[in-house]
Amino acid sequence: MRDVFARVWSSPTGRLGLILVALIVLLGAGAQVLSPYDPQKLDVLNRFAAPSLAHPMGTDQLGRDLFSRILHGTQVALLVALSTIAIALAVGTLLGIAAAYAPPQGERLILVLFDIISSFPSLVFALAVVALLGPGLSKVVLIVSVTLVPHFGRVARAQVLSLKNAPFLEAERVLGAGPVRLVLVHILPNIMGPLVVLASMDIPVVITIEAGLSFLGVGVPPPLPSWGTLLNDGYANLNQSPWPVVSSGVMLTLATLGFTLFGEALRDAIDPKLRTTP
Amino acid sequence: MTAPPLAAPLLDVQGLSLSFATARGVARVLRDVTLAIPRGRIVGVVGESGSGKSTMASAVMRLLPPNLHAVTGSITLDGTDLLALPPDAMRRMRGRRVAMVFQDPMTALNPVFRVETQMVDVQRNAFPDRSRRELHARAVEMLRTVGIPAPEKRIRDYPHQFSGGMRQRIVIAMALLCEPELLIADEPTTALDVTIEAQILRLFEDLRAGFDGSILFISHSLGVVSSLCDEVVVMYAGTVVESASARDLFTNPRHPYTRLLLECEIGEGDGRGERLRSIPGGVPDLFDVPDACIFAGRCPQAHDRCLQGVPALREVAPGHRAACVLA
Amino acid sequence: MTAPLASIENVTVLYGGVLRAVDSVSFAIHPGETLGLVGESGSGKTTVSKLILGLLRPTEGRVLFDGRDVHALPAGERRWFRRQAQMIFQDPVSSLSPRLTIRTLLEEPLRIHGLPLKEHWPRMRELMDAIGIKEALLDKHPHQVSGGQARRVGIARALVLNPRLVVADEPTAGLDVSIQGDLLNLMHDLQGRFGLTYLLVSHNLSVVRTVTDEVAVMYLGRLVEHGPTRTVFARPAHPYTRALIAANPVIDPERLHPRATIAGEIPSPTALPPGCRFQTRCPKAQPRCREQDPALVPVAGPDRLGQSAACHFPNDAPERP
Repeated sequence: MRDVFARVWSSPTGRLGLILVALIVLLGAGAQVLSPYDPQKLDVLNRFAAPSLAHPMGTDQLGRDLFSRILHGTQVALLVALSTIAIALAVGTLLGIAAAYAPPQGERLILVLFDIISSFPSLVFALAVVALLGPGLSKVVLIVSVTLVPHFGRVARAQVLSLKNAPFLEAERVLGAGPVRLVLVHILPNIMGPLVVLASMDIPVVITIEAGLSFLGVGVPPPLPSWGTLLNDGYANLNQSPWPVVSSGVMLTLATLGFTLFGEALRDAIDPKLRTTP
Repeated sequence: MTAPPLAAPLLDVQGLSLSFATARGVARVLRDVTLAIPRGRIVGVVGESGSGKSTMASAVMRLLPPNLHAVTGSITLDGTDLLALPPDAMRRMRGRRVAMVFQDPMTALNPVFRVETQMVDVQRNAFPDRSRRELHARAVEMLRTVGIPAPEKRIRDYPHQFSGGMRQRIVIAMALLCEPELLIADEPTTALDVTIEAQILRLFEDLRAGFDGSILFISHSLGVVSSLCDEVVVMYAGTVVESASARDLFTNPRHPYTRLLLECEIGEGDGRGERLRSIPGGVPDLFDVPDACIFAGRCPQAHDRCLQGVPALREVAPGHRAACVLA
Repeated sequence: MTAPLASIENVTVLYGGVLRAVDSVSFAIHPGETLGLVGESGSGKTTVSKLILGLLRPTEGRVLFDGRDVHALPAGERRWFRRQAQMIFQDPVSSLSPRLTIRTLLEEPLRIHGLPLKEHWPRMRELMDAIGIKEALLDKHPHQVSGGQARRVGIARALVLNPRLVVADEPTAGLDVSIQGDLLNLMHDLQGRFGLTYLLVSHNLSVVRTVTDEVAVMYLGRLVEHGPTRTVFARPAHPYTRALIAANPVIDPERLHPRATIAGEIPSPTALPPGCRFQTRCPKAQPRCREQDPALVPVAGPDRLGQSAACHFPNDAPERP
């Protein structure tokens, strides 16, 4: 593990990614401590203030401190991204392993399910669900994680299939190991590498989907700050002040860039052979 | 028996040293390797894993991995220094004058083309004026020579439609099509079952009658080499420790390593319950090669003189060389 | 004669209903002995070793251990059987789970069977001592140890559960001659010390000749010859056994034994030849061989006690010196 981080650090892009990721995680995790103001607190007299010592990024159309709102937005983005990825990773891996070990009909069923899910564009699918059930943070998490399940499922299945006839699994079977033990102790640790890489590469995707949904007003409901809602608010008032759009846009860009660079470096560090696969 | 060798050997390897750069440092994989292959002879190279026998073969073909660190010495084929040859001249040399057969026949066969296509293509450069029909006929004839039944039909098949033994025959046929002067066979029977191995060895024996080139036969099996080769070179940890005619080497080995290796071989006399012989110790570290006999650390007869410099490969009897101060 | 430790009785294994991997094979292994199983790839050796280990259910016939049908054991005793029969694998490194340390790998058999680690470590140390596994190795991963060390770890794992039968699948394949003796000596010592019975699957006839008490020769899913190793090697009755022995490379610089070769290759088990399975390659095949499938019957003659062969015309070759 230490080794892997050392290898990520040794590539210049990986180092940049790692620094950005660390910075964003730090800002998001410490949002409550680092925010100078309550992100919800209105100060209508001070609308559209330019950046100053009191307000490092200025204020929005209601006079709320943009820096505090960006920090809380970072927290929301990270929460959504991590929980989404965690759910998709767990469910996908489970289904992938099941598909690899299931009888042919079972395997086909799971694969068809994966195909159906992937055939929906995730943003359209999310809009449809929100239109039916109304907006909400947990719904965003659920929708996006469902659309990502096939990602993890397919990779997990392929990994298990390549491992299934490995002599060491046969050796464990001879010793008397049951299927649960084989999967947990011997298969999972050997297929986690590519899945973790995939997870880290999917984080920026989830962040942009969340921002996109929130921008359209169907993601994180107000008054909770999200980079997407901040962008939308700023966009509506672009003629008054560019700062809301600039600050949230820059954060979104840095986050996507950071996680992408980190993910790529992690992929190269864990398994250089994966480089050619999309 | 075979004709006496002509004066100049076909292949002459002189003082070949070769090292690879790795993460751990520079590995001196071959050190001062000297051997000669007379015309029309089968020369066997035996050695255990890490002896450098395959690297030596790759050096002759100039098919060395990119982490090559340094090469010194010379490899001369019929007067041409192969190490000094420009890359495209070397490329023309491969297949036409020096051909190689590997342990896994699929390294030489392309799974997506018919055997016919591959066998015709390999002759194109060697015989540019011959028609496709002629080349095809030669290919069929060669398949017949190496013992493929119904070759005119089977030549239309793909490599995967043949068994392992048949594939190896096809590879040997392909190697012989351009009438090379030197055929290098690197463990060509190791992956095969014993009855098939015996057939392929018989094929090599039969081929020498109609083939006037020389064969460099690399193997880990003393048994295989003893019954096939005219001359035998024993390698250990990147260097030649002994070379002689097969009969001399196996009946009167002079280097302690060769002697011990022969004792390790299970003979007909070894019965149930008897202790089997082995050579204590492990293969030496090629990253830190001492200025001494490389076998001294495992040699039961080692003494002070063995630690004073690397013993030269010197003639201890007519045609019999050993790199041991005691030989 | 003692009761057999493990045996298979009239076992047939069909894959996909057509491929006869093993066809009505019977043999027994007696406690404390080493049985060698030889034959080319495709002969059914691997299937037979899986059968003996209880990993594969026969299509027909029974697999017995200690006189009990392995596939009819009550649930509680299936675990017991799992501990009785173990295996040493051909490729030592790839048969060790790559992410685990040697320590965990050695403890794994105990964990699988719910045995307390603490209580068993003294025996583990004894095993490590006997096999030659150094303490310093314990915290390494399989890819960090040498092939020889991995081989020893594999042997220790097979013996941790104190089995009575050990199947060794090509244990010397890929091993240099200079260290092959070490491994075979070690296996011999362990056999005496722990009272093991071995099934040695190997294509190396020199090894089989030296370390086994009995030998069974398989060809295309059938047992073609079986008997005491000394007898079979001295006077092979089946032409296939003779061919195998003749093809075995021995040091022969004087070319005294021109290697007799048999023509052709082992046919596909999905298209078995009529009559005797070896008739397509047999140098002595007669019309009868193409019609009638020979049964495995005892070989007649003095000093042929225990030797049997499946051939219509056994034993008509001159004896080897």
